[in-house]
Amino acid sequence: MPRTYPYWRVSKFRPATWLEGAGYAPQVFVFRNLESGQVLYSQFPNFTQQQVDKQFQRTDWSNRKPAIRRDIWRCMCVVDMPTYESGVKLYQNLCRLKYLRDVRMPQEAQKHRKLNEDGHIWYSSQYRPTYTQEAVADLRESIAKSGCDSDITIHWEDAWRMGDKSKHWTPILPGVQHSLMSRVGNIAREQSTVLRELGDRARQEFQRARKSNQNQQEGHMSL
Amino acid sequence: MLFQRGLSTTARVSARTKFTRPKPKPPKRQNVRPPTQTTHHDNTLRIQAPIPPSAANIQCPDDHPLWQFFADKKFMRSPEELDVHSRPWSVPELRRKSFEDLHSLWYTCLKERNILARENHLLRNAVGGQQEFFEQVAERVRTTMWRIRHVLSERDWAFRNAQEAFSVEKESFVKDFEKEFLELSQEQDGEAFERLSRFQHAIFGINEFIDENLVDRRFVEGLKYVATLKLRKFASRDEELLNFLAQCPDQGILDVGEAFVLFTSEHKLESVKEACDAIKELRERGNYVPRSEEVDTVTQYIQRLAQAQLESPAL
Amino acid sequence: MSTGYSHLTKVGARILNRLNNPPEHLKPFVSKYTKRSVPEFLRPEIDEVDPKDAFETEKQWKYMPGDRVVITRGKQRGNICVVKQHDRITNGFILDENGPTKTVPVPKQFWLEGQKTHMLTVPVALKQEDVKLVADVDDPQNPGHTKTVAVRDVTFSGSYYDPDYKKMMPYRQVSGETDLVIPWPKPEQHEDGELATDAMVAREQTFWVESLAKNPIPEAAFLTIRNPHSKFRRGKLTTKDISKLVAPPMPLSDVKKARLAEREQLAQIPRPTLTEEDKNLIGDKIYEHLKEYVGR
Repeated sequence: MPRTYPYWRVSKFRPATWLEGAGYAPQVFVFRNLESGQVLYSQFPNFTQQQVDKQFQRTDWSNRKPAIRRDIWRCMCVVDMPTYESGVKLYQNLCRLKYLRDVRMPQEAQKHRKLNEDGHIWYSSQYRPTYTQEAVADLRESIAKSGCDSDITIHWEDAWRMGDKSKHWTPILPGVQHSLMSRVGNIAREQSTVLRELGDRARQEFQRARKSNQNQQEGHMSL
Repeated sequence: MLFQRGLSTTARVSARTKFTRPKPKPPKRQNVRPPTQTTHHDNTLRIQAPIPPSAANIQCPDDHPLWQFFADKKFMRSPEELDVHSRPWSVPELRRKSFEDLHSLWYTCLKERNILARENHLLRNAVGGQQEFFEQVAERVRTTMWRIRHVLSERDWAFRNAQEAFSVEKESFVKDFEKEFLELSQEQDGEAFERLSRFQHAIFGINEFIDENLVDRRFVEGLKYVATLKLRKFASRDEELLNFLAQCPDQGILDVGEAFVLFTSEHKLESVKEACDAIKELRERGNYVPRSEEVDTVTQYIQRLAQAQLESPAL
Repeated sequence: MSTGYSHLTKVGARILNRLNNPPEHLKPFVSKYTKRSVPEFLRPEIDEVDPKDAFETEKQWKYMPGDRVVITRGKQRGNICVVKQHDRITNGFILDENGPTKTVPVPKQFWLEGQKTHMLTVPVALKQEDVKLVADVDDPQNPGHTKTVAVRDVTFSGSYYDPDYKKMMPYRQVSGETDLVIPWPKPEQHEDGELATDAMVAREQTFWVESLAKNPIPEAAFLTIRNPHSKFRRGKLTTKDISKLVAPPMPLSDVKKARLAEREQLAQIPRPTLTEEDKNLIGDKIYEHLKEYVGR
C-alpha cells in the first residue's frame, strides 16, 4: 500500500532513510525556468523557496533569483537511481557543482560560456540558454563521478535537450538508460501527475529489485 | 556561580589541579544510533563545458502533419524550383466545376500558400533576402482563391434569381410536364420515369439517393404530387386503378402516408396495384397523418428507408 | 537583416505609400533624384510608369515576345528586330541585337559569366509608339506569294483558346482591315509546373444545374464566401458613413459674417418699382433730347 506523499514536508534536505520511509522513489528532479533558462535541482517532484535560496547564492542581473511561480517552471528531467543513497549523493553532487560554478570558480565557468559582443553571457530577452546546457553537463559529470553507472534511467522532457546522445552520453556513461517523459500533460497544471506517476513506477521498480536481491541472498545463504 | 561570597582561599583550594583524579571514561554505549546522513558530495567534481541541445536524437516520422508546410521536405525552394509559369484558374474555367471540386481546389491552394508563406517568412527573417518570388507565386494562387469565392457567390445569386423568376412560370411548366408525361406510351416507360426522376429533383428537391434528402414542406408536397402522377399514369392502363382514383378525394393522393407507399413502389403495374391495396387497408383502419405532423413523419420514413438500404447493400 | 512580420501586415502601409506617391508638383524633382541615385546600368532609358498604368493584358501590350517589329525613331530607325521581352517597369519593349543598345560600366558583383571587362553592352527598351509590327501578308499583285509589310496599328476582336499560351487570346487584326488577322507569335515553351493542372482535367465539366429546390452550395460555406456584415450589403448608412459623406459647414470669418449681414440688410431695403409715371417721364426726357439733336 503506497503511502501518500507528504508534499508539505519538503522544505529542507532529506537523507536517504527519510526518503525511503516517506515513500519517495530514489529519484532526483531537475526543473528549468522557461523565462530565464535557469535550472533548479530537487529531491522531490516539487520545490520550495528554501531550495531557490540555497541554490542561487551569487545572484546578479544576469543570474537573478527566480520566482517559484509554478507556471514558469517545467520539469526538465527525472533521474532514477538504483539506491536511495546514490540518489541523495547525486543531488549533493549537483548542488556542489552549482556552488562551484556560481561561487567558487565563476571564472572557470565563464570560460566555457558563449558571450555576446559586450562580454556578457549570451541572451535573448531574459533567456540564457547556457544555464540549461550547463545543467546537462553537470548531470553527466555528477553521475560519472558518483561511481555508479548501471541501473540509472534518465527521463527527459525532450530528446533534443539532452544533447547528442552518441557524442556526449554513450562514450562516458554507457550504462545509463534514457527515456522520454510523456509529452502529453507535461504542462504546469498537470506536471505533478506526470511526475507522481514516474515516481510510483520507480518505487515499484526499486522494491521489486530489492526483493529479488534478498531472494538471491537467501538462496546463497541456504546454499 | 554557586558561592557569591567565600573566604579568600576558597577559590584556590577548590580549583582543580592536575593532581585531581580524572573521572573514569564513560563506558561505550551499545545502542548508538548510526548517523542518518552518510553520503557526501564527491571532491573530484570538475566544471565541464555545457552540452548543447542536438536534433540528432530526434527521428521525425515521414507522415508528420507539419510536413504539409514543406515542399518536398525542403527548408526552402530555390527560385528555379518554383512554378513561375503557371497562371491562375480563370473564372470561366471555374464555372464548370462542381462545389466539391472547387472546395478541394480551395484547400489545395490554401496549403500551397501556407508553404509559400513559410518560405517567404524564412527568406525575410532567417536568410535576410528581399526578393519577392515567393510572394509573386502566392499572389497568383490567391487570385485562384478569390475567383473560387466569386464563382460560388455568382452561382448562389443565379440560383436565387432563377428561383424568383421561376415562381411565375412554375405552374405552366408543371402542367406541360404532366401532359407530356401522361402522353408517353407504355413502351416509353423507361424514358418517362427517368424524366419524372429529373423533374422531381428539379422542382421539389427529391433526390434519387434517399439519405441526401432534406425533408421540408416542399418535399412533402412533391411526394404527394409525384404519387398522384404515378397513379394517374397507371390508371389509364387498368380499370381497377381508375376506379380507385375516382374514389380518391379531389382525384389525387392527399395523405402523405399513402403518398409515400405509392412513391416507394416500383414503376410497374403490379407494384402500383399492391401499393393501392395497401392504401385501401390504411384507409379502412383509419390511418391518417395530420398535416401538422407530415414533415416529421416523412423524416422518420426516410430515415427508416435509409437504414434498411444500409443493412441490405446488395439490393 | 530581419524584417519581422512587416511583410504580413498593412500597418503603416498608407504612410509608406505616400513616399511612393509624391504630390503632382514634386513629381519631376522626385523622379530626377531617383534617376540620379540609380547607377547607370540599372537606370531605364525611358521613364518608368505608375504601377497602375503598367500593362497587364495582351491587348495593352499589342506585341508579344517573338513578334517582329520595325523601329520608327532614333538612330536605328528602319531596323527590323524581334521583341525579346517586355520591360514591365517602363511598359517598353526590349529588342534583339539590331535594336538600340548602350554600353555602361558594371560593378564586379553584377558581372555575368565569362565577362572580362567592366563595360557591358545592354539593350535599351523602346516605347510602344516607336515600333510598328512587321507581318507577312498575301501579295495581291503576285498571288501565292507573301510580302512583308509594317502595320500602322492593330486592333482586337473576339477571342479563342490558344494552346501555345494555354489561355484565351484575342484575335489581332490590322487596323481598318478586320479580315486580316496577324497570328500571335509562338511563346517560349515551358514544361508544365507542379502547380499546373492538366488541360483536360481543367476542361472537364462537373457542375450541372439540377434542381431549383436545392441550393448547389451548402449553407455552411456562405460565411467564407461572403461577409454577411459587409457595409455594402447592409443597405444602411451609419452615422460614421454619413459624417464622411456630408461636408461640414464652412466656418465663417468675422468679415464674411459682417458682409453676409450687410447683404441681408440691403436685401430688406424696398426696391423702387418703375411706375407708368416714371416711364412717361423718361420717355419725355428722351424725346426732348432727341428733338433737340435730331431736329438740328
